[in-house]
Amino acid sequence: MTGVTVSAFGLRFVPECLKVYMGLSWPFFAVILCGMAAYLVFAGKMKTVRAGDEWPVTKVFWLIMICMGLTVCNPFPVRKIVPRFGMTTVYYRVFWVFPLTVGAAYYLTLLWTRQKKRWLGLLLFAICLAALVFLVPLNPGVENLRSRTALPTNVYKVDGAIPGLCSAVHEDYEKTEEYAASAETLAGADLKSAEGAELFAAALPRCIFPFKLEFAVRQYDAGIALSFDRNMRLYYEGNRSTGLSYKGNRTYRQCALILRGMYGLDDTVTEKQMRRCLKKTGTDYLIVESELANRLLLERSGCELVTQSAGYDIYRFGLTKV
Amino acid sequence: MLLGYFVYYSLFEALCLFFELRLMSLHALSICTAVLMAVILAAGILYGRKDWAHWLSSLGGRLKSHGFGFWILLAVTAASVLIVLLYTDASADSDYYVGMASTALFTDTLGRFDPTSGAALPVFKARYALCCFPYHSAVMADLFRLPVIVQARSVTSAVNVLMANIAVYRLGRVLFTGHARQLGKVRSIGNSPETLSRRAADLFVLAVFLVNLFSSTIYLPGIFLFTRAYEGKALIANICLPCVFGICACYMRGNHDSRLFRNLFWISFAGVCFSASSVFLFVLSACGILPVLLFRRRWKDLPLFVFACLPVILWAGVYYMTQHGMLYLSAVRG
Repeated sequence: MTGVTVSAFGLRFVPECLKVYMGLSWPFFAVILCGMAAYLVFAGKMKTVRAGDEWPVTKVFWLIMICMGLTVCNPFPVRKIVPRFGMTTVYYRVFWVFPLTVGAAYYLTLLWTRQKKRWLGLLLFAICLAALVFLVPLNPGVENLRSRTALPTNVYKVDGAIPGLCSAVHEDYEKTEEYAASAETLAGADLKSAEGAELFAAALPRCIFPFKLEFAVRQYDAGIALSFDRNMRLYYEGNRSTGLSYKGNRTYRQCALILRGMYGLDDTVTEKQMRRCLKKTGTDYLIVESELANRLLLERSGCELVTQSAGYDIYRFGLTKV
Repeated sequence: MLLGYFVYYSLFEALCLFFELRLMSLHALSICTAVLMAVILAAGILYGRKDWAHWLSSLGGRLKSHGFGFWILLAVTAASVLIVLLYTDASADSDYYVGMASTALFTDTLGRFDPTSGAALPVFKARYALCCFPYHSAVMADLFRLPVIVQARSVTSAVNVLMANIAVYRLGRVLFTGHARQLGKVRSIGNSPETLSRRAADLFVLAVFLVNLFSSTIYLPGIFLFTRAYEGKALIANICLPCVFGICACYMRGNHDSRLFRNLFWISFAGVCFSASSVFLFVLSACGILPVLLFRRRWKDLPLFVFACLPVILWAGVYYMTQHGMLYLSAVRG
């Protein structure tokens, strides 16, 4: 959970995480707590409730809640253990142990089906549905579908520009001397050895893509290598959810310089620095939005414009055309 | 069917781990998986054909007993599948999980290249390499000649969301088993305990769907089900944990059948295949079963419980050892 850390919240870490975890869906938690409390009260007073099948289920909910409260959700040990295991950002998954969805649905179903009059059950169902629609926001995924921002444009469910860009990179790379040389080297290489595996990885065209496309590229085409790995790129974009820091990482600094240079975000980046970093990281292609590309610096650094496709420029660096 | 799902992924995990740690190729794994599954299918037909025939002949009656609930089930399942098929997930996590499958297929290796950059790895990343679920998409794509991204993002997601609905329905049957008994006398087939239990389970599936539909934060299981159903984490939260909860409820009700622990074992094993979050299966079973076991002094169930949780315990042990340098899982020979 971004922003919720043990160091910032101390003993309030667990309740704060729970608050963020629930968000505006807290009515479900209220439903399950009401159901559990009601059965606890009635079970104490009525033998029929104790003999019923719902009481053992309610007891399991209570048992899980108490056990979690004493162990994995106990603020005192959690304060020490969670940072040690690097679980701060994924602590919310501990709450999955308490069956919130199942519990809320269970008590709602009981509410609808335990009425002797059928119309009363239907009325309660309608009231619950209306309360959900008016009080609780939709699942963000469904909301994105409703607003058409998450609808796919192709069968691969990736940005429409990716297939064309990947094809263009391969088409150009296959016409270079480096590709021909790597094909020869790889012919007898043993992929199970460290050298063979490294040769194989080095034989792929290494690229830097815009952030919007970067994460989908290797899902669509694993024949393209990337200079940044996922966590490094997230760090560059200011996302700290991985809990990792790349400040002192040399490769990260080199890749970050290339990105700052190609987008013109840093005027102090020189052609010499750009060339050095491109060489050190083994970057062969830079893909950049046509309207955002820092053309002057890219061309002065020795990058050649290969083609323009779907609003993106593809630049080649350090490869020799056959 | 649900147990078969867990057994299938447990076998796949065992097979895939063997192939991965022996640095064998993905294609060999695909062939081996296909052969193994064909043998199991043939054995199923040979030994279970009478059960299957009985199941088919009674299908009409069982569907009839659902009444309007059948249409509810159908609508909820269709809506869930439609949501996962239409949703385009652009999260950074998909880069890893789908990337693992596409990298495996492209390189014909298992876990030896970084899925997010393509770089060669000297050692396996234990957190991901020991949970083989993403490779299943690569195997299917290899066998059926499908683009791996389509297999992982659409086909796997659709199958998983179907299984999640089946799991919820089965849980509903477990939770509402005795529901009918308290409603009154059985006057007709329409209010027999079986029928009423089915109808309550139908409504339970609808209720779970509604709760997931209105799960408004990115941390709740609902968002994982609808937007990231191709990830193992989603299966832990939406299939495995509800099933373990069902087992806890059965145990609390006084059902001490050893088959409960057998089921828990397969869920734990498949959980290890799905994700590192399978440790939460152990936490839930420890919270829901262990206190009851101790309170009722059913000491003979203790070894069964430990055995059932063994896959998760073993996984956690191996992971701990790799993280602390006690075990080195080399991804290259020599």
